[in-house]
Amino acid sequence: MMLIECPVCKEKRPELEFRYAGEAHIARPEDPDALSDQEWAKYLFIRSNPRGTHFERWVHAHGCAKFFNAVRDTVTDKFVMTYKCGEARPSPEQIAERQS
Amino acid sequence: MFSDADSGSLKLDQGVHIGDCLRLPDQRFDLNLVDERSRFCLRVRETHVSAFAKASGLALPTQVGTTRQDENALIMCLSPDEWLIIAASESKDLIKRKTDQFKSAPFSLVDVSHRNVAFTLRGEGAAAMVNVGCPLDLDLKAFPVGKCTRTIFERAEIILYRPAETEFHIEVWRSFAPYVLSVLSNGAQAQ
Repeated sequence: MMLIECPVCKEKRPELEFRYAGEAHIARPEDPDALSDQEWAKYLFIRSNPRGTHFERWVHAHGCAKFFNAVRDTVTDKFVMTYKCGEARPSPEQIAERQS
Repeated sequence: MFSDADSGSLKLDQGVHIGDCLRLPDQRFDLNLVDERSRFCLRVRETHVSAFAKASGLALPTQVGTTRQDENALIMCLSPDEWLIIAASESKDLIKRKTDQFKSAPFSLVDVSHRNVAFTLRGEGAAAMVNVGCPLDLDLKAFPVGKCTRTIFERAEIILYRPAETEFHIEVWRSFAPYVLSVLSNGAQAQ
């Protein structure tokens, strides 16, 4: 079973306790009224869907119940690192360091 | 709802019956239903925790997964802003009175006494029985005495607490209790 480290509990826990919650670092537009329908649709539905490193949100649903962010490789399904909501997106150097 | 227990005193029927297959004398564990308790779900913002603890006199553990037991209650820290308080059923008003002492910020104290039922598993085989439905590492290094956590037992959410080396306390929502018992019973037969 895959173990995921929760940055709030600071523990590796079984994946059954977690839920995926979409791509991370997508900021809601400050003024939705000013957006065209296409721009709004882009915010709502268009995601990067990369092959490789992906920044995503997870929730420790059956644990501390907190959301956090994770870096996961979509090819290998390996978690590179997890970090708390509100923290900056890790740099490519930090990710490479964790992967090595 | 109330029934006469063997002792003749009134006892609340918690609506959960432990089947005979979990009461076999040769088992390496002993499963019991915990008597009625008062339980509260407490939510306080992280920034107000120390002020809340000071005003109410409730010593809230602040690290997720830790517990604190005093003469009034057992307090489990489930999340940085969430606690489960378990006390004797007659201590309900006491907990409410204590928390009412904190007036400087909003918080929430919800009575969930009858939402949960609790089981205790005691004995050499207790950890193995918990592991029937829960994949956590229950080695003493990974799950020491006094640790608690919300986790999953097969498909039901439970709160697991270890009061002693060979004892586990399982809190589960009442409607999930027969399911948890059936999983335990299958596990007991397989072991």
